[in-house]
Amino acid sequence: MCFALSSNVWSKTNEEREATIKSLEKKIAKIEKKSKKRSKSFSKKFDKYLQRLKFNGFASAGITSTDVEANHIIGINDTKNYQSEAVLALQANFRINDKTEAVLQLASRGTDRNNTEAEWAYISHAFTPNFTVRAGRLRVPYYVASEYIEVGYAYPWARPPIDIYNQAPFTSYYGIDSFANFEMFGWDHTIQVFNGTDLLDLEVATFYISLMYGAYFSTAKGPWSARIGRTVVSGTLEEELVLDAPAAILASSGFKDFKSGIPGLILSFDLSQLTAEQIAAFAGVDLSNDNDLFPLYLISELYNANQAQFNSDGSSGFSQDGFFNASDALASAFNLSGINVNFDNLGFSYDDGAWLALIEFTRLEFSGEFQAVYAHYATVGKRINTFMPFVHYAHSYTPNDNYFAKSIGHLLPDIINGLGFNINKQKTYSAGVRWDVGSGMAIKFQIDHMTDLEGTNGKFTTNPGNDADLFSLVVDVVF
Amino acid sequence: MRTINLSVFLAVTLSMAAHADIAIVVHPDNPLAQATSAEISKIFLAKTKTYSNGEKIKLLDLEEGDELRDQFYKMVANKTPSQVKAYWSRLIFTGKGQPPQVLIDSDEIVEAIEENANGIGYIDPESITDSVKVILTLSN
Repeated sequence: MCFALSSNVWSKTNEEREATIKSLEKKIAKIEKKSKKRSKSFSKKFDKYLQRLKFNGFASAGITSTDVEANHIIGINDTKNYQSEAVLALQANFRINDKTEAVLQLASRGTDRNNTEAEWAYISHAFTPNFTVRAGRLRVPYYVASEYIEVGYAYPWARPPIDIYNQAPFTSYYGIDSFANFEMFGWDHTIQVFNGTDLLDLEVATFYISLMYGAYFSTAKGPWSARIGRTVVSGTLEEELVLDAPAAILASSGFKDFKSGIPGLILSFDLSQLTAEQIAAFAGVDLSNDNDLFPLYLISELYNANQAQFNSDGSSGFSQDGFFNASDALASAFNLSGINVNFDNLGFSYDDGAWLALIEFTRLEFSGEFQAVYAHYATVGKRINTFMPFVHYAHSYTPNDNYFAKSIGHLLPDIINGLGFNINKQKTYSAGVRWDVGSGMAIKFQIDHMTDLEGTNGKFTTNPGNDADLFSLVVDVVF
Repeated sequence: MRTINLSVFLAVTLSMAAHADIAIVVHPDNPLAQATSAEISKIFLAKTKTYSNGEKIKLLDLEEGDELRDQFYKMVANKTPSQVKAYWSRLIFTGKGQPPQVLIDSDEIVEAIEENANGIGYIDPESITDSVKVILTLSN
């Protein structure tokens, strides 16, 4: 057999052999070409697939501390804290077609022991390049930086001004939003409207955010931009909120005097004709002591709710019925079955590349007995090579001091601090510097001097005194 | 009239050394015949998203760290690479935009514009071919 094959080869002429080799070479070349084509088309397909999927992310790490023992609402005190600024987020954008994409942003925070949450998770459809509708889990655009509040690299400060940005206990919602861009008179405008719901799990109760909607309008030209907007939130309580705070106050010394004084007081005078000082003097209440103001508050509520009963039976003193009625009065004052909140915002910015100026005004208004909260800030920075030193001033305050908020506001849970349950005043003077170490990485150092708390807790959950300093060293990256 | 405002001009003369010119180019069929520096800035910061014919603008960018790129953003928007990155991070992480497609060099941008009539890019004038139209030249 071996012989036969070789004899077959030897029987061919040289020309015949060359022709065979050439035809084989051709075949091989064809196969090679095909396989190349195939692998090329595969890599092209893979490239196209990769182009449809984009990953981005941001992260911050830092060290913060204050010079007072009191706890600050961002979760720090006078011990070094590495947790409050720690955040890492990953975002995946998957392009479904030319106009539609699915987006997921997962954020893992030190404040939440790095439990990971979806801050954004939505489907977006661009009907035109200038009109987009999104549905799913979205960030609430309360204020200018609310939608990128954790993207440290995007702003000059160590964190967005606390006086303004730490007011809302929830930052995302389930719903739908849309935004449109258009140009008019040489300015570029954006209108964004949104509508949604959410469940807010506080330690003490679960709020169902039954309705939330809002709109904002922003406009920009060259270095200038401005934004105005309102977010309206309506919440209902899932279960009755039981507060044990009033009992503690009722046991206070002021209440004893109040208890013996009130029946005579109500019998003798028309309360509406008296000043707060006169009532306080009669009931033995110390107006300068916030804890004592609660009985005074009860006097007026009892009087209004229960006038007939007291007039007919003055001798019974402060009856059990009266107490329950007072509780009802308290509950209705709280209106804890539901609450409506308006977040209003006006912002201006100037950024010509060298100079940066940011100004914002915010106003929170509540239904019921809650305090409105006003706040504003101004930041001015100047870029010098890779450094941007800046100065900053902020002021937040509750414009009306009613007895209710003064007496029991501070007994409410920390998480709703700043939400109008409490009287708060604070001015913040800050200085800091942002250093752009390289593209995608910035280091910031900032000192905040908080002062003029006027006996309130300011942005602390316990009383820090009238002054406190907050030190922050933060590293921000985007990738 | 192709103008560059005074502050950009000053920034450029004070800080720029090597590169001479940057050409902003589009496809010959593109409705954009010429543009100002301010208009180019708005296009590359995704504030202007469509051409006059309603077609979606396709931005073509160079890689971060490319000298021509740094110079381009300094000239049209007075932004350093970090400022451009901070600007885009505000758009990316709020779902308001995705940064432009990145290509390796001017020649690749020219090739991409040949294939896509809605493309726009900034290139080294040496890479200009018949298949692109220059709508603005930025110079020191």
